[in-house]
Amino acid sequence: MLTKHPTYIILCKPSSREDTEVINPDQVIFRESVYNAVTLNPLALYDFIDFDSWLDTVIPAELSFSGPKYLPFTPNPTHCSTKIIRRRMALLIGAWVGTKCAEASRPRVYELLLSLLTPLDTRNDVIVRMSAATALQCAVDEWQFKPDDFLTYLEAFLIGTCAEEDKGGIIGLMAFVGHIEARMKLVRVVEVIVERMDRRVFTILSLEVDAHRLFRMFLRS
Amino acid sequence: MLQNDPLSFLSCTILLPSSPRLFKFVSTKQNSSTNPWTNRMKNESRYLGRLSYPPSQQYEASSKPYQTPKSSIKVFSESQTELTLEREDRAEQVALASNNLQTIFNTQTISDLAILLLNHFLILRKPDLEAWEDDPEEWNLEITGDVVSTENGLRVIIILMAKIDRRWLVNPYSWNS
Repeated sequence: MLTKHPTYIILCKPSSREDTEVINPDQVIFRESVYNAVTLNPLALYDFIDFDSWLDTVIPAELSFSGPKYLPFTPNPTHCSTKIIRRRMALLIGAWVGTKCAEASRPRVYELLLSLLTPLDTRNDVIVRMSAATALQCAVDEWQFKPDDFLTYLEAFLIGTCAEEDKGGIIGLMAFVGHIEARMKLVRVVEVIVERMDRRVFTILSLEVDAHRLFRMFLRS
Repeated sequence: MLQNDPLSFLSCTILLPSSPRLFKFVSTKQNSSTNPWTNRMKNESRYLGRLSYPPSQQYEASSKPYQTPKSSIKVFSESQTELTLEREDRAEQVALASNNLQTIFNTQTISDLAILLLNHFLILRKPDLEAWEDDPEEWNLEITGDVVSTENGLRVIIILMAKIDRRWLVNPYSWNS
C-alpha cells in the first residue's frame, strides 16, 4: 500500500537537474514536510527506506538544486528556497545516520555534510551550516563511529580547508554566530568530536596547518 | 447487541482501555483462568510502562503489545458478567468487520489523512520563513528548543522573585534572627 502512496512517489522520485519543470514554492514546502516526517520516524520507516541508497540518489539530487529551480518565497531575493531543502537534508542525515547506515556509507555521509558545512557554497546560510554541524554531532556520537575513517575529514570539519580561509569548519562558523546558545552548540559539537577522536585529534597539529591561521580562528571564535 | 452486531467487538476493543467504569478488566490472553485483577495490573503496567520510555524508543515499546495476535477477548463487566468474544468462532463477522475497515481506511483515505497531517503539523509556515529571514540564528534556536528552555528558566526565576517576600531581598539573612 505504501508504494501507492503519493508521499512515497514523491520520495522515490526526487527532482533532478534534468527536470525542467519549475517547481511551485508550495511544492517545495510540502516536499520539506514529507522529508520532515521521514526525519521524525526513522524507526517506523526502517524497513521501507534504504538509507544507504538514499545517500547516493535522493539526497545528492536534492542537494544539487540551484537557485533558479526553486522560486523564492519572499520578496527578498537572497532568501532562496534551496536552503529549506538543504537544511532538511542535513537534519535527515543526522536522524538516520545512527539508525540505519552501513559503515561503508560513512565517508559518503561525511562528504555530504561537508558540502553542507562549507561557506564556499552560497546556498549554505548559517542555519544550513548549523544543521550540518548538528548532524555531524549525531554521526560522530554513535556506536558504529570509526575514528580512523573520520580522520581524513577531521581538518575539514574542524577548521576547514585552505580555500575557505578563516570561515570554514565548525570553528570558523563560531565566528559568524552571534547568539551564545548557538556558539555553545558548536562548542558541544567540537567537544564530541574531540572526545570520540581521542588522541587522534592531535594529528591535526601534525598536518600542514598554518599555525597563525589556526590561532587567528581560535581568537575569532 | 454484542452477538448481533459484527462490529461490536471492535468497538469494545477500542473503548475498553479508556472505559474503566464500564468494564473492570480486559484480558488479552486466551482462556485466561488467573485472577483478573492481577492481569489488570499487568495490563495497566504495560501501558504505563510505555510512557516511561524515551521518545526515540516509544515505537519499539508500543509496537510490542499489538504485534501479538489476540485470538479472544474476555470482558468482565461491573456485574461480574463474563462476556467472551471468540474471534475464531465468528469468522464471518470478523471478515465482515475487516471488510468494513478496508472500506473506511482505503488507500485514498490514508493518503488524504497523511497529507492533512503533513499540512497541519509538519509543514513550514510563513512566520517560520519570515523568522528565518529576519533572524536565522534566533529562529534556529527557537525551533530546536534551546531558547525556549532558557526562557522557561528565566520565567521560573521571575515567578520565584515575585513570590519571594521582598523584605528578604533587603535583608537576606533576616530569617536567621
